[in-house]
Amino acid sequence: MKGQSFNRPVCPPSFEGWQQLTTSEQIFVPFGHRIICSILSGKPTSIEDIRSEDQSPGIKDFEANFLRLIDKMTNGSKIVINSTGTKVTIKPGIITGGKIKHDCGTSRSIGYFLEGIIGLMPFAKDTFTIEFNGITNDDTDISVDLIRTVTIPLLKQFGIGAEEEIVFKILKRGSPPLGGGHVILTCPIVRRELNSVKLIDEGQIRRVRGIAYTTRVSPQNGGRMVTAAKSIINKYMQDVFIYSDHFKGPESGLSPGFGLTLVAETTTGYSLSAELMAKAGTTPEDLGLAASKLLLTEISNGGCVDTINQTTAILFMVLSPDAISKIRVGKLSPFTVTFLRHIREFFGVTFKIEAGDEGKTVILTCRGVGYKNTAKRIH
Amino acid sequence: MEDKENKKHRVPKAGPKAERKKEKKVPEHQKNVKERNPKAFTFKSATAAAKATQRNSDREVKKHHVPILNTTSILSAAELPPYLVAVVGPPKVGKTSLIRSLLRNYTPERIDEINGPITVVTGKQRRITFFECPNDLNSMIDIGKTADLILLVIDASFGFEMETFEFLNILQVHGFPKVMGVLTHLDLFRDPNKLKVTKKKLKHRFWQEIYQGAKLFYLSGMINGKYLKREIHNLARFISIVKFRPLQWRSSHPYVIADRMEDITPPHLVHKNPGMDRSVTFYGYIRGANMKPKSKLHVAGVGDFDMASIDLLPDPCPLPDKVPRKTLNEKQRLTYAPMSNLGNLFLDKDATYVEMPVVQKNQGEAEGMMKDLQQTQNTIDQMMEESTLRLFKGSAPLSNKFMEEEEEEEGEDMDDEDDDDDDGQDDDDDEEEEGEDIVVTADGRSRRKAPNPMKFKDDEEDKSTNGDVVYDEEEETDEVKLLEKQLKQRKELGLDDDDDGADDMEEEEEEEEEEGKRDIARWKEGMVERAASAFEKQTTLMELVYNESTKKEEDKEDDDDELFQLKKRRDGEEGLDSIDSSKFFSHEDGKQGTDWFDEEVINSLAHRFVSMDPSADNVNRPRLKDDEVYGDFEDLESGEKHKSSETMKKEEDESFKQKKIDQKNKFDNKYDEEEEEEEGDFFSSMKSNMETKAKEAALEFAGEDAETRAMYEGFRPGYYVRILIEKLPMEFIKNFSPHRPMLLGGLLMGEDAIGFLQCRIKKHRWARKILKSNDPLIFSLGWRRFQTMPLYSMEDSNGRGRMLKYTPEHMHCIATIFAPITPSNSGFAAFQSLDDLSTGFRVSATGVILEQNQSFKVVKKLKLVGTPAASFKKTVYVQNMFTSALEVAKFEGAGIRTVSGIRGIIKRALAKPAGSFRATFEDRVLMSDIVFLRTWYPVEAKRLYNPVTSLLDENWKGMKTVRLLRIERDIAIPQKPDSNYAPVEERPSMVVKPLQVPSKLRDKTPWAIRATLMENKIQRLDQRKKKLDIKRKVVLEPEEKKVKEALKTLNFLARERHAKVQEKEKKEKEEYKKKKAKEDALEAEKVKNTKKRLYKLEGTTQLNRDFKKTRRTQ
Repeated sequence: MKGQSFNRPVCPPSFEGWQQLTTSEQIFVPFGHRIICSILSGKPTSIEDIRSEDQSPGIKDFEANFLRLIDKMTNGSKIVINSTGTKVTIKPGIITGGKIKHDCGTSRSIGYFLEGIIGLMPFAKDTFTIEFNGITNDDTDISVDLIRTVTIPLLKQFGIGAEEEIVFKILKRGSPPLGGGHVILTCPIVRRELNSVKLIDEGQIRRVRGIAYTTRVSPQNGGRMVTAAKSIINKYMQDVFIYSDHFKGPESGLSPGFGLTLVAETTTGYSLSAELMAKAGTTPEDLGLAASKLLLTEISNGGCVDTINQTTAILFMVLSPDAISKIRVGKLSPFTVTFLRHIREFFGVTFKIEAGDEGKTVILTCRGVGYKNTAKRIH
Repeated sequence: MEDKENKKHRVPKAGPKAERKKEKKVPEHQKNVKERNPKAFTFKSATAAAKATQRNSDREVKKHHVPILNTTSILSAAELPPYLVAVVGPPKVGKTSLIRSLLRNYTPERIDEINGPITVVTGKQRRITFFECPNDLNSMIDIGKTADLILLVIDASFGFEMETFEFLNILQVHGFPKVMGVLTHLDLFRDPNKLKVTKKKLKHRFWQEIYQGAKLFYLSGMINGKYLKREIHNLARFISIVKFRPLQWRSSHPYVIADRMEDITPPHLVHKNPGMDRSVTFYGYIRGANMKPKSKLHVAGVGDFDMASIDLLPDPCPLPDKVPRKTLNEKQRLTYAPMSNLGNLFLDKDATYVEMPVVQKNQGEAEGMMKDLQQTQNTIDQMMEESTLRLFKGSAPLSNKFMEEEEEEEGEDMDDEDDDDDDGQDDDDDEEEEGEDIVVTADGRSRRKAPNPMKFKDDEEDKSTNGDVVYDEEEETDEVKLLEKQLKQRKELGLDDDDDGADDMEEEEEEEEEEGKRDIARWKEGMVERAASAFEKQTTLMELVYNESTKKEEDKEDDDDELFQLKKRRDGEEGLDSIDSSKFFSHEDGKQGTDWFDEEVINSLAHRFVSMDPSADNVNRPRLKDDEVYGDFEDLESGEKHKSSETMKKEEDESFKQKKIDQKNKFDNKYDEEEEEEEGDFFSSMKSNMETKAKEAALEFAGEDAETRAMYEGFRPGYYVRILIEKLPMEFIKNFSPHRPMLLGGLLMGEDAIGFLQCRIKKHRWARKILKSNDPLIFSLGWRRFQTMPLYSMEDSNGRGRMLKYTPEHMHCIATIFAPITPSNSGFAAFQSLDDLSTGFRVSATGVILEQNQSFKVVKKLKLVGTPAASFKKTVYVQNMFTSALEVAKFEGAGIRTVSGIRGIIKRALAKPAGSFRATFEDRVLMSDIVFLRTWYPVEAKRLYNPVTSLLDENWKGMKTVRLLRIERDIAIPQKPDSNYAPVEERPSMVVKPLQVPSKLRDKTPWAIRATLMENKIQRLDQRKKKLDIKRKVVLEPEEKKVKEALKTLNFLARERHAKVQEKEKKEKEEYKKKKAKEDALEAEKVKNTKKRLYKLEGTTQLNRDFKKTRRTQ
């Protein structure tokens, strides 16, 4: 996909992958999202031919782990994985609540799990308090910093955490490969309905904030990242502040690592973000520059919801009450495109997708399904 | 004129007016205290005043309910579905007559038979669907859930009937629609006084049930089988001004009351297998919320089904286009009653039928033949099938069936194809029908086919495979050329994906070319433009996101060619497979190569930053003085236009002005808004907010065509649609009756799942018996009616749900039922039987849903009893409570108690007697005590969900209660011998030990008591002594033994002698007694005689004395 012009969203190539019983469509996998959609819509789902032609067929350990988490979070769900692991059948139950501890393992970071279940937590019977152990920041999934600084404020737009706060604490950081991070998320439930949103006005970038984290490496690395990142962003913006967040002792997890998360806040109260974590051999300067370039790309793409959080926003738009929800995004990622198809499959909601702002951005409009929290108890 | 002063008003001081005024004026002494002395009652304390205001505002807020959106406020009258007015009442009260009279009032049409819903245009802005509700509970429930206005017909001569109250109770739980009462049979009253009293009584009873002042109409009598015109007109006027309240369930769920249904199963398949499931189309207006295509539907009385397709049809009974100034003319007063054989237009997916009234006139021969043809019951196919042919004389006749059997093998493939594609079959049928213009229905009615004005396709798959335009097989070469040209353009523009739909298109076109060129027909001229527009459409984002089926088909085609194929992997596929992350793609973005330090790039992004935006007057903005050049010019390389500082200044000024104006407007708007907010409270702002949102929603897709719009938001209420449902049981068609309502209720997300519901339930106070746990009960909940087995429970103060065997008599309790998931707060009514009239009042219970889950914890108490095997200080070995060590292990740490109230805890299982354990207690436990463990045993509600299929079988009977079965089969209630009461063995009388009083205390007591106490003590000592004597064992020396022996003998002898003497004495005594008795008797006789004599003597002497006395005195 490199080097391709990104003036319009790209249709991802289809391949022999996951298949749902209800369709003949072959869609590449947001595994977690399928499970979440199935549970929210109450539709029993089966996913077939999972990597059936791969060297190592069947679901991966982190997917099994995800299913385990779902099992903990619901009552009465029947999850069946066949002997080869190439087929998963799920009959959804009711989302419960309470305190849960989950070890996310080391194959995927906590963000993978959190991004998936964030759609379930507001529709539970009781408030969820989930403790996650594992990798907090890595380069494949959304980091806990982004969830704290961008995803949770986005949820507030939909009315989650408006009355009772969403509490998200990063107690320990854990870098790959060994992890050792520890976070706690408390998410209140939706009592009535979500809010329908209209995230259209892009506004202008008001300020840029960031977090440069370091674990089990010299704290100087943080400063080096910050300087490098500022060197480029200051060309555009004066109000840049990047916190260097050094974790010491037992709070720093089991592996060395550092990374940079950048968030650009708009005058209209939205956030665009980019982040990058260090791989072996990356210098802090390179990372700082690369991350800030990513942020500038994100800003040039525009939109009120950043690329990483598109799916989260879309999911909540669908679940919002029977009214019009509208968001502006920069570019549709292939991940989002697949997700939109899933949404149509599970919820019967088709988005109106228009080019806005002379084709620079994309406007997504839908009429919500008026999803109610059926699990909650009344007295 | 203006200067002229008006004459002043003079208050009349005399005359009748003045008199009247004087009379009106209440004299001071008659006024109440407050009026007389208002100053005394002004508020004295600020707190009291504050309290009063608080109370008033509290009362106001208390009236508020959560606002429900009223669709009528958004939709125009023409868009709204007709209101459903149901006429409900027991049989023989005049329902049909009422509908007839009302229809007569509205429309000139005459309806012979009232079957199913009848839609009438009643006014310029209103349509009404009338429905006569039959007197069965199933229909009453369905109507209660859907009707907007209910005309409750009551026979005044009889009074209220149970059905009426049952119906009102059903209404109450499903959201109360508007109800108007209609009293009939008032002419049966002879005595006007009695009539008046009855009216009043009925009115008040009616008010009590609905609300004070509920509208009740009196229809005073009938003339020629019709109610009085004036009264009906009055009623109609009231109907036309009724305001409807939005109801929670209905405004969130779409539903259709079908006016018509048609079995569209291919007849030859039905002929082959009459028991097969049918495909049925339902026609009706969508009501309530938007109906999403392909959603789940509940057909009340049948079950849950997937909607196979939904099509928008033109409104068969529209409001007049031009609103007339006064009243509607006759042509505008349309009536649509398809099942009552009325309504001159029938609209189908592909055709419109015009009803032709049968005109009686003299038949010619040809007409007669035509009539005969029309009246034949069998189709030609059938007749052909039944006809036989005899080839030879005396041979068995050959029937068509025989031929078919032979052909079956060949024919099967064909049939299968037909099965797969029902729509195709329909189309074929229609094409065939196109030739013949008149369609004859079974009852001899003639319908004429008219060209269809509108045709909508909804099938999304169809659309996606064919693109937006359905290409004709014979495409034109010109068209192809145009398409090719556009394709090229598109490729040049880089709009096309490498191998997306376009290739597919090309292939298609090639095929078409091969087919050969044909002449262009006139009617096809517009097609090019249409195709072109379609092509443009295809490049939209929508298409890119949602259309992806074309390529796949290609793949599939390839697969067909060879049996085995090498799997090919596309580039990047691996990456997608291995990582499913939202973050992944943002990294791989195409702008990696951009030099972000480049001045041009910085400038191009400037507008995105506050500090750099040229339009923003910001201090932070870095000013570049060097850039100033003279005059405007355009940088030809970069294409940027530069402007001189003067023009810049001008523009700046203008923009500044504009900005000022904007700011002012903004401020004004904000100010106004704030004011508005201040005026309205939270409640009204919430309401208006809802309404604006709904209006926005209505406007958002207003520009789209109906088809696209339905895709985005579903079919809106007010649309007349045709819904196809496949695999409907055959009994639905077989036992179809137009009198029963056909309700198609839309189900929302997750409402088709089944699970456990917990609800608050209360036995109806009129129901005769309390309800028993696990007795089947019929629920009417949501759209559904179903039988399930509720488990009753009560919540303890600690939140534990304790099972109840029976519902409480006058209290709410909790019921756990296995039922389809229904949102909380939905009401329900429950019935033990829907048709058993002997139960008196059929509504057994009502309630509301509280919670949904896949399992609930309901427990009942279980006491495990054990006895001490050994008791030490505080440790006790308990046995007989459990049977194995494993069981004990489960209860380790559990609290136990003895009957005497000593608390303890289970410690550990013991090895020896299986199931015994060690426990510790807070005090010493006696061996005679009993130890028990209080535990909670989970009880599961039964998983029974049995939908009431009243439309499949009119006499539907559900599962019976155990009690009914026992009565039916004459089975006695089984009794456990353990549970029987047996006479209790009486306890042996207790020996109470004498009271012991310490000597110290005894010495202090008063003498009287002390004496007794002393006595007691002495006695006690004696006894002790005796006891000791008895107990003591004496070992004797032989000497002593001898002495003792001797003494014993002597004693014995003495005793013997003594006994003899005594016996002798006794005898003597007795003899003496006898003798004495005799003597005594004699003596007594003697005395008696003597006394007798003496008294006699005395009496005579007395007499003499008296005599002497009298003589002496004389």
